[in-house]
Amino acid sequence: MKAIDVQHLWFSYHQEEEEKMILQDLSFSCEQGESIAFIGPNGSGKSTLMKLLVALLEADKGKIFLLDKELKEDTVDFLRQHIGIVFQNPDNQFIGATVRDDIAFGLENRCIPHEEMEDIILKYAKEVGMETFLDKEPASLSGGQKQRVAIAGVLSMHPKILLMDEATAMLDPKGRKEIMALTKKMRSENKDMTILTVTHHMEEALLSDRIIVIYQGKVYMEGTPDEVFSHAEELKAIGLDLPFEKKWKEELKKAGFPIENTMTDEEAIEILCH
Amino acid sequence: MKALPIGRYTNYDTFLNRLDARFKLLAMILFMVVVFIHFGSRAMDFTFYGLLMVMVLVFMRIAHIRIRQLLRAIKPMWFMMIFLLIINVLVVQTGEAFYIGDFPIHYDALFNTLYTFVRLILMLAFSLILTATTKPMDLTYALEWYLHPLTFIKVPVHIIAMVISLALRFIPTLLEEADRFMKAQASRGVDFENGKLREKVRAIISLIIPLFVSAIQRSTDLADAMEVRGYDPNGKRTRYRIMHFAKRDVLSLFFLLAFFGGMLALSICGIDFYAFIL
Ligand SMILES: Nc1ncnc2c1ncn2[C@@H]1O[C@H](COP(=O)(O)OP(=O)(O)OP(=O)(O)O)[C@@H](O)[C@H]1O
Ligand SMILES: [Mg+2]
Repeated sequence: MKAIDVQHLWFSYHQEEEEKMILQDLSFSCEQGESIAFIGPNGSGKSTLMKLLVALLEADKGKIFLLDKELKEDTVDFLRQHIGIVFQNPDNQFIGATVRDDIAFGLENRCIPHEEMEDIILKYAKEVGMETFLDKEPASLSGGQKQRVAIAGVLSMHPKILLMDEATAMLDPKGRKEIMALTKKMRSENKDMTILTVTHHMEEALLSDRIIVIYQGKVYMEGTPDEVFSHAEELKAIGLDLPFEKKWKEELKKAGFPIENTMTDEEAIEILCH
Repeated sequence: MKALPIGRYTNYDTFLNRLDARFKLLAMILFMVVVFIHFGSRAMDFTFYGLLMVMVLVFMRIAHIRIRQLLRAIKPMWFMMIFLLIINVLVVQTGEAFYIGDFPIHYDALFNTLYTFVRLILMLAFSLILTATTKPMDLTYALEWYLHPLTFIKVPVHIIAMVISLALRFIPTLLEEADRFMKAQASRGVDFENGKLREKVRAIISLIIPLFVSAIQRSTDLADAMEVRGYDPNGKRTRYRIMHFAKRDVLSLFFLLAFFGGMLALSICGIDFYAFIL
C-alpha cells in the first residue's frame, strides 16, 4: 500500500497571479514505512507541500492520496486521524498549560475517555523522555523539550504518517541531536510509520531512506542519500551543500586523491592511509 | 520575567492551594461582597474589618505570601487615597467636626476615606491570596464551570474558556518577546526611558508594531497546530481535567456559608454589641 501518492500538484497562494505558482506539477509517492527527507532552498515550497498534505491548504490542481484514499473535503477528518505534523516553532504549537495538558489536547479532541488519558499521557511522555517534566509549563522548558512534547502529542494519536517541517530548525545543536535520536528511535520502533522530514541540515537528511530535492516548486532530484549527494555540482547550483560526511570525500577527490564519492568511509580512509 | 501586578501563582502545597478553584472563586466573591455590608455602628464595622484583616493575615501566612507583597500591591493607591481624602474633606459637610484654624474638618470625611481604604486593602488581599494559591488554568476551569448554565442559551462557554486559557498560556511568551524587542530597539537607539511624551509614544509604537505582527503570526501557527490535532470548536470533546469536590471543600464551603450568613444576619438586624457594653 502506498502511504502517500501525490499526483501533479499545482498550488499558488494568490490565484490571480498566474506566474506565482508555488508548486508546479509536483508528484511523488512513498511506501508505507518509508522515511523521506525533503531538502531545498528557502522558499522552494516545502512547507507549502506539508500544509497541503495535512489539508491546511487546498491544491489548485492535482490529487493527493493518503493511505490509498483521496484527500477531499469528506475524507479530511478521517485522514487527519492518521497523519500528524510537528512544526518548526516550538512555542506556537504548545497548546496546553503544562506538558500533561498539551499531550491531553489531542486526546480530548479524539474523545478518548477521561479514565484512559492518564496512562496514555505517561506512556508517550516516557517515549520522548519527558516523564519527569509532566507538570512543567512551556515557559520553563527548552526548545528541544517543547518539540519532544509536540512529538509526544502527535505520537499519542498513533499516526501512520508523521510529518516534521523543520522541527529542529529553531533548536541548538544539543536540541537537534535529541530530536534526531528520537526520530531514529521512532523509526526503529514503528516500522510501518511513514516519516517525512523537511530540513536544511544535510546530516539529518542522511538518516532517511530517500531524499527528495525540491526546487522552485518542482522535484529537482530524487534518490537515496548516496545517490543524491553524489550529484554535488547540481546541488551546489541551487545553493545546497553536502553533509560533512560526503563533503570530505568530495574535497579530497578535488585535491587529487584517488577517492570516489561512492566509496564507504572505511575504503576512503584505507586509501588515505596508504 | 517581570511580575504581574497582582499575585503570581506560587507552587506551594498548602491547604489553600489544594482547595478546589471553584470554591475559592466563590469564597473570594462572597468576601468581596461582605466587605461592603454595614453593621449597627461604625465601631462594629471596624471590629469586623479587624476580624477580616486577621483572617487575611492568617491566610497569607498559610499561603506563604509576605506582607511586603501586599504592601507593594497597595503602593500605587496612596496617591488615589490622598486625592480621595482631599475631595472628602471638601465635600462632606455633615456631623461633628474639628477645626484647623478656621477650616472645618468633619469626622465623617475622614471615616469615609478610611472605609474605602480598608475595603480596597481587603479586596486586594483577597485577590492576592486567590491568585497566589490557584493556577490560572484552574481559575479558568472554575469560571467555565460557573458559566456552564449559559450554554443553554447558546453561549459558547467552552470556546470562551479555550480562548482565555490560550491567552493565559501565551502571556509569558509574549512578555518575553516584548522584552526581546525592547532590547533590540534599544540597541538601535530607541530610548524608552527619557524624552518628551511624543518621543516616548514613538518609542512604544516601535515596540507595539513588531509585537502585533509576531502575535498574529503566532496565532495563525497556533490555529494550524490546533486544527491538525483535530480541534473542532463546535465538536464534541472529552476532558482531561475534571474537578472533584473533596471533603475539605465541602467543609470549607460550610464554614464559608455559615460565616457569610452570620455576618449578613448581624448586618440586617443591625445589632450593636458596643451599645450593650457601654
Ligand atoms: N501564507 C502565505 N501567503 C503568501 N505566500 C506565501 C505564504 N507562505 C509562503 N508563501 C510563499 O510561498 C513560497 C514557498 O514558501 P514555503 O514556506 O513553502 O517555502 P519553504 O520551502 O518551506 O522555505 P523554507 O526553507 O524557508 O522554510 C515562498 O515564496 C513564500 O514567500
Ligand atoms: Mg518551510
